[in-house]
Amino acid sequence: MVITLTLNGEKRTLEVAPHERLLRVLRSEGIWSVKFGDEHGKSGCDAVLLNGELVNSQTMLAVQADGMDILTVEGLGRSGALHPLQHAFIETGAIQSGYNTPAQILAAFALLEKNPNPTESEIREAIAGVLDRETGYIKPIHAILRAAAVLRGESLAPYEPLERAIPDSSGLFDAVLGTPLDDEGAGWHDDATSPIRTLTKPPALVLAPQALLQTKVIGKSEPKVDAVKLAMGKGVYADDLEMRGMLHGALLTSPHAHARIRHIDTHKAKALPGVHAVLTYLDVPRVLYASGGQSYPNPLPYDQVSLDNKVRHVGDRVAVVAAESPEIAYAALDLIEVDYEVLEPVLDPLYAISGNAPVIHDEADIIGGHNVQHNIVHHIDAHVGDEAQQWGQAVHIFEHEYRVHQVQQASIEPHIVVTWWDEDDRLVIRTSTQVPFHVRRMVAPLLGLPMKKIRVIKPRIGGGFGGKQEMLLEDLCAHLTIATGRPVRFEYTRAQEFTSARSRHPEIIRFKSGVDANGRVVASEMHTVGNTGAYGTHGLTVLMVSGFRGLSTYNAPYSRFLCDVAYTTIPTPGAYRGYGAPQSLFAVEQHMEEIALALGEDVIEFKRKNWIKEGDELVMAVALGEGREGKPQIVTTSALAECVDIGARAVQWYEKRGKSRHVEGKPHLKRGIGMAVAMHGSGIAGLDMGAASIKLNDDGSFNLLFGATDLGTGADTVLAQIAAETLGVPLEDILVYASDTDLTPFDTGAYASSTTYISGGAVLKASELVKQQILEHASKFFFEGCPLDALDLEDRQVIHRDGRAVPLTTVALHSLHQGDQRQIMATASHMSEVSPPPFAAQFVEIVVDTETGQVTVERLLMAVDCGIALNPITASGQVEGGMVQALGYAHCEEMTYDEQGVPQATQFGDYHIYRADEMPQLEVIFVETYEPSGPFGAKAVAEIPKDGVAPALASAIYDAVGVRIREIPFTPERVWRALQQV
Amino acid sequence: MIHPKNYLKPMSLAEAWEALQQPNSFPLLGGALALGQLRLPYENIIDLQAIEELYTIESTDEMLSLGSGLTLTQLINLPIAPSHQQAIRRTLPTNIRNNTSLLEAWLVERYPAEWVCTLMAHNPMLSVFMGDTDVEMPFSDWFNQRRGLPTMLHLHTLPADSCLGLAHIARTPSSDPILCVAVRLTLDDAGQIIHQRSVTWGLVDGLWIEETDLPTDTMSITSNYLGTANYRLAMYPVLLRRAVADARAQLEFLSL
Repeated sequence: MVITLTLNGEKRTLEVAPHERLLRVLRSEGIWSVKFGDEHGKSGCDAVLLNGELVNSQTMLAVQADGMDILTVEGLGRSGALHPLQHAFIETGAIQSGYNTPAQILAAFALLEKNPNPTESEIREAIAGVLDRETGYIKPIHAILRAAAVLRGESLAPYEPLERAIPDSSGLFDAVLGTPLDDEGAGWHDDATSPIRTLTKPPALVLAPQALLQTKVIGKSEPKVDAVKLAMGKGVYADDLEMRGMLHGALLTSPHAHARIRHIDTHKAKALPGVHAVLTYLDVPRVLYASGGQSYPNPLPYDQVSLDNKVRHVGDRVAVVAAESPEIAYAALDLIEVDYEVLEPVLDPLYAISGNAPVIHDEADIIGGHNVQHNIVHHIDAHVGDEAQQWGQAVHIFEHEYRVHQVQQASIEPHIVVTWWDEDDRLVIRTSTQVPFHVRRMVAPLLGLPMKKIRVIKPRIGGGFGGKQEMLLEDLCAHLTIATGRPVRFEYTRAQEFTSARSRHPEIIRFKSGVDANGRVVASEMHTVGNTGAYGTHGLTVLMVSGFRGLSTYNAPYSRFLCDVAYTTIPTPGAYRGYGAPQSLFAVEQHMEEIALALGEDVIEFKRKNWIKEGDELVMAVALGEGREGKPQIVTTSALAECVDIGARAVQWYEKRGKSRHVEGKPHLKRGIGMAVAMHGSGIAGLDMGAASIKLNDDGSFNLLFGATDLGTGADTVLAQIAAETLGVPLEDILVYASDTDLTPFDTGAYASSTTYISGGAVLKASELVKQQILEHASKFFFEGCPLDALDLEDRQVIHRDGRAVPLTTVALHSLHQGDQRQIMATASHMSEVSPPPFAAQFVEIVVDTETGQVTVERLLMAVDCGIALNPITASGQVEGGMVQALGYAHCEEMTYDEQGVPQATQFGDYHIYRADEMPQLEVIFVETYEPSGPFGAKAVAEIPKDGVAPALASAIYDAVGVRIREIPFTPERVWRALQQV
Repeated sequence: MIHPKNYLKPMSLAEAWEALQQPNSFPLLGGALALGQLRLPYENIIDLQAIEELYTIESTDEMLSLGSGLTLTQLINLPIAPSHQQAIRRTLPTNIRNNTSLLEAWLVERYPAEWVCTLMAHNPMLSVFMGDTDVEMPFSDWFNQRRGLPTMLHLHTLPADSCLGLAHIARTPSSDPILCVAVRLTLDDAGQIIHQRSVTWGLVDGLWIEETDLPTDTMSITSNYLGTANYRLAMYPVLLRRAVADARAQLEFLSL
């Protein structure tokens, strides 16, 4: 069929098929800004403006657009002439991965066309259909408010966080006086009649050490280095390319939770015109591996193969197809006939390890696994201290059990891979991964190729959150390219994201603690049963981290972690931002609060008495490394006390906590306030390693190459800031290229909150080496061989302390063309024997409906010590987005199964992610410390926001209605049932 | 799996009716809800967007008559009872509302529950094209069978003694309801209820209309991961009371 439409002002005549969605047609026209997020249009990243109205292009046929006018972000602005909305999104840090940014911008554009002076409520409603898993919506709303003002011709102050010096302890509380925290909604206006409340505060508050760093780039809210192209919707993601002859992969998944494949017949599928390959376990070599993207050697067990003759969860791999179009590929899947011997599903981890359950991994060739006959993949028993002595000191013993559930990372960009043979017959894998180097090493044996024949490229990623620290589709896609010789594109459906990708481990955690006569926790035991689902992958390391984090905040002299990790037949959990800590902190924070209340002590003061402090050694650090013996760890910096005190002041904790409060005129609506503290890590001590290369160019600019993978966090920007600060140039002079196994140095990848701390350390070292070379060259040729300590780099110049200066470009040209010619460049690696913990205090305010159990979250405030926030805007974006993900974990997100193990929520909507129009108020306060082992004093920030919301919410529910709920999520029914038992 | 092979764009109701009689035909008007839920196989897409009658808006003091091709966005921008607006806006964001027609919202398997409850409580009339004749019937009658092609929704203006109310339970402020109740009340001069019609979603399979359905011991109460049967049963009277209170509050507001 032929249709005619106007696309970004240009008339186009297109040939389309009756079934083709507008999304696919636009993308085939090179409109990369329009993205696939899900089949139902619930993610909203597929939105376009159709005759001026925001609609989803995935849920519209191309033929329906015949004769219409379509606007995408490509039609809004150009480099150097960005639309004010694009500019505002860049300026405010509203862009993280950028995957949904074009849709948010279009939603805002449509709103501002009709309403140039919108309220925040109207903005929230306008963008509510574009799900954002990253920002917490705060900065996009700031951006739209600012763009609206610019379009109205108003002038605006620069968008910067409020920075204050941390005063001495006597003035601590006053530090937040007069700040926006006490100035409700200042600067913004709202529509009082709207059901959506005004929630957005000005940018984060940064409380810095007294002696503020005299830096020019570090600590400044520099726009992200990739922000312009993301705001313009350029083709930067894995799926944003077209290749001649590209085939489309599709995955046949198991409908059964546990079954053996008796027979599989692919003849009909292979006979379908347009099908180029159908592969089953009969067609690919049986090579055992573990899919978790972890350092060499990957922790055991090796319990997976590319395609197997047994399936162990609904969504498990059965067969793959490569075909000329996605429609043909999916039609071919329907033609594959599989005869299953259906086996008993095993959903309960306690049943799984009871000795009565069917054996899930009964294959003879599994490598590793503690006791696979009893479905126990790992057994961990680690302790420190004198058991008898410490329990002997305990005058009170408390024991509580907590349960945490399975949730999905739900990055808006699904897993997507494209593979092809290059001109040298090397296999190229372009993939949305957090671990390109691990993928190359892990995939090679599965394909039977030497590693040197494989190149892995990580383009921009549309969110990962740990879900892409896994090799999930790369081997399948590559098998199809090997089978067909053709490029193959392979993407999970949204349902497959829920059934076939990874998720957070459910755990059953029993905490037992002994408290001495002085109220000190002297002994703690954490007994855990972790559920790793069908495959081991991250089961060992997540559970070890869970034990380590659970037992470290209060650091009892006798600590023991006893854990069984169970195989079950649910979709496999894996890495998810927080990596075991959100589970154990939900338990330990409530456990400590329960102890405090039982002893009649103030919750904060009891915790303060017991939490780990500067100079303390983390008692479990050696016993609980990640899959191996850990390194001794001592807390060198902590502002936990300040975080708690400042946060408590900001939320008026002491005025509210413990006071029976209800919503005026509605006695069934009870208010509550809760808190929790959190401690995380900065990379994996002694294991994570990053490397960076820096090269000076003729014009004084630098190429910065590293293997670290920016998931949208702003890591590329922060690493570039480190280089720019060290080399005395503005950020724009640092040209970043990252994550290509052929071209960039090695990096373990983006996980464990390691990028700023570990990869940043590598960039700092490489920058210092390059600086040294520049100064040596300058000294010799421009400053008469003066001592190097007389020289420094500043403002694109080599500056002598006597005031003389030579432009960097002069030195660069001279070094390349005129004297002692050589390329000034350096490569450096960095690993750390320590993993300095960031700390945080999380506060939550809620309303509980005592008749229905419905909990409404009104406010989340986190005060964070992440060392020096190298870029406060991107760092605060991490905290805001992380808190909202954590809120989903605590409140509404849930992977559930029927009795046969069939997942019940496999689409957005059923699996509810917080929308812009229902958000609580979010606030972030940085309380900075200077961590001497980190680049420019930095620690990590990415994961700690995930840790405190669930226990703080539990604490708030207790405050509101006096019931203690030890299981998440806090659904209306769960809260209502707890209320019935009072 | 058969993807649609044919696309037809009838210009009149008669043409549309004829096209829809072909086996494996799918009527499309909008698509934001329907295409996400499309269960193949369908061979023929019958796109109704060119049929002008489906976009009519007629307004009198007693009645607002709306073509079934209007979008939910167009609907909530009209002077309709606030409960309709509330019910649509809470769970359906702008980009979905902008490309969901009234007809589509009624035809899809997973319809917007709160709004359909509200409509059923309001109990408007519907013009339905049956091929050779136009039939007017209560919306609830049509909805129970969903036969014929609805063309116009006739929302009568509620009299001064009558109002709609709505209540729901959901995990978050914008998430899909676990249970929702819409009521239409008619009050006497003393404020006593003289007529009440309540429509509930989430209690049984489909909708439960209290005015017409009789509760029985054998009623199969919905039970799933969002809420067990016990919970739903316990919540029903709470929501009914709240919906009634909401209706009363709206009535008081309108009388001010």
